[in-house]
Amino acid sequence: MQIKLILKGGLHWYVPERQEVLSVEVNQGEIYRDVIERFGIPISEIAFIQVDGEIKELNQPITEDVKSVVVMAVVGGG
Amino acid sequence: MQECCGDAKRIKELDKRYNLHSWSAQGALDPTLVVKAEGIYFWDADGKRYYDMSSQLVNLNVGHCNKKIIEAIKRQAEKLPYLQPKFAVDVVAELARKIIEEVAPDNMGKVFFTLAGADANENAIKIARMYTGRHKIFSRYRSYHGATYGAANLTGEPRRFPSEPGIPGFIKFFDPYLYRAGIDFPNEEAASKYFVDKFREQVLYEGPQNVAAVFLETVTGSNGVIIPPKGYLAGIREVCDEFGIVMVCDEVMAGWGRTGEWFAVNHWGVKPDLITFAKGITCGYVPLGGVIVSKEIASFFDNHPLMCGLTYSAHPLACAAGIATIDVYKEEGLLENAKKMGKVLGQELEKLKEKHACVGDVRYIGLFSAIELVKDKKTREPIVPFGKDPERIMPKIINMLFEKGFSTYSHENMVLVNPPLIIKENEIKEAMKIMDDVLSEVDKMIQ
Repeated sequence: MQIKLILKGGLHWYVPERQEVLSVEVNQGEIYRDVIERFGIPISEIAFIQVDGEIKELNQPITEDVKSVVVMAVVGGG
Repeated sequence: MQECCGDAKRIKELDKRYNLHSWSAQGALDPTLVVKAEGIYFWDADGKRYYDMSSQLVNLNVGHCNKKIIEAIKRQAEKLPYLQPKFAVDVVAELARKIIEEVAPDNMGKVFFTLAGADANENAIKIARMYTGRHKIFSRYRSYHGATYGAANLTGEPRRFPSEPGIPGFIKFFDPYLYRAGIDFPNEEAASKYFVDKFREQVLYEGPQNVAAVFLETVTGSNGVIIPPKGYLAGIREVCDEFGIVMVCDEVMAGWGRTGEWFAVNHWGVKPDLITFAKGITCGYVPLGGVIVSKEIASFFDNHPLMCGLTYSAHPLACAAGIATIDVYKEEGLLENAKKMGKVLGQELEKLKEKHACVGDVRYIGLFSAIELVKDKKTREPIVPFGKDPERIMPKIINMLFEKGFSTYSHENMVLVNPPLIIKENEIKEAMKIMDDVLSEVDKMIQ
């Protein structure tokens, strides 16, 4: 399944093309932390994640109805 | 409030007739009469309440009228309000101990107390020159280090100009301002390498044997909360070590919990040789600043005279306030709150960036943040050209915010959002709703 990963603050620096919005293939049941770490984004730089508008824990599994995940940075801009 | 306000008209008349206000042509000024303040709010003479979303001048970190600090000042005023700096005084010794043992990076050894940030930087210039025997001083263009003569010469932005022709040997270099760098860096580290290499090249051209110090606002303040990219400060440190240059971090605005750390430099694990500070040490309850000096530089002055002095250096009232303020930061968990509420503020700022055509960039670290306004998100053309605002667009925006109860200030095309560190989540959201409404009006202005 595919979800939209939206990177805020300076987190797009970790993505090769520095996109702020990515379409990502994920497996149902995979946890958010693993998906984010795939891109080399340090967990310490994440303020929180919002899954379809709701704040979730990084260790929660991705359910099949998920459409978008906003990853908020602790530090933004440069 | 009533007893204060009875004579509001007369106070404004006296102010207009006799008081010179900072950075302004005086004729058109009509300053608001403020009669009461508490926590993150203040009230005007008509009883209207304002969110203090700039913590006055990014100094009122603990909020208005903190009772512990007021009591400490009262106690000291009754006990010993003043002694000249050559004497040993309990509150001076204790504040210096607290700064070195509890707050500063572990390479720091002693403190020289000043009255504010500008003279902290003045004295840091002299300390670096005495220590190295060199005279040249580097600082950056998008910087503000104070308005006294030496500090104004350190300053890179246009508030430097009234103090020019400048002091010989003051050299400016470019900031790692990635939003306007105009270079497509593959990552932050590459950007840092570029800017550090350019700095090193400039040092070579100036003769490293002539360079005493480099001054940096660790996180640039009024010039737009420019956050150093990863590796930048470490790179500057390396160049300083290579050539024996004193690294000075100006933490006047970024220090004292503003970014969620005692000093912003802690975010990057870099240890400067000197730290200049002011603002949040007493949060403006009484003036105080200072220079924190490394152990190595402190020991140099064991047998070399420190040719610095101020009648009010280490003023006991200010030092008593400083001790109480550090205790308030700790007891009320304000560094932790800055980190926690910084996440809420960051989210609100990102929403504004997404929603409004006029918001080119938002930058935030802890409760230190700026909104950069543009005419066009794609071209990034600033809403006002650098150093000019002939149509007075930025004051209009600040007035619109103020009219709705949101007090802050702007610089160039930036609106600063730096609330007291005691702010709560609902208060951030309420205040940022006002910002949202005003930015909708600004969107119409740029259409």
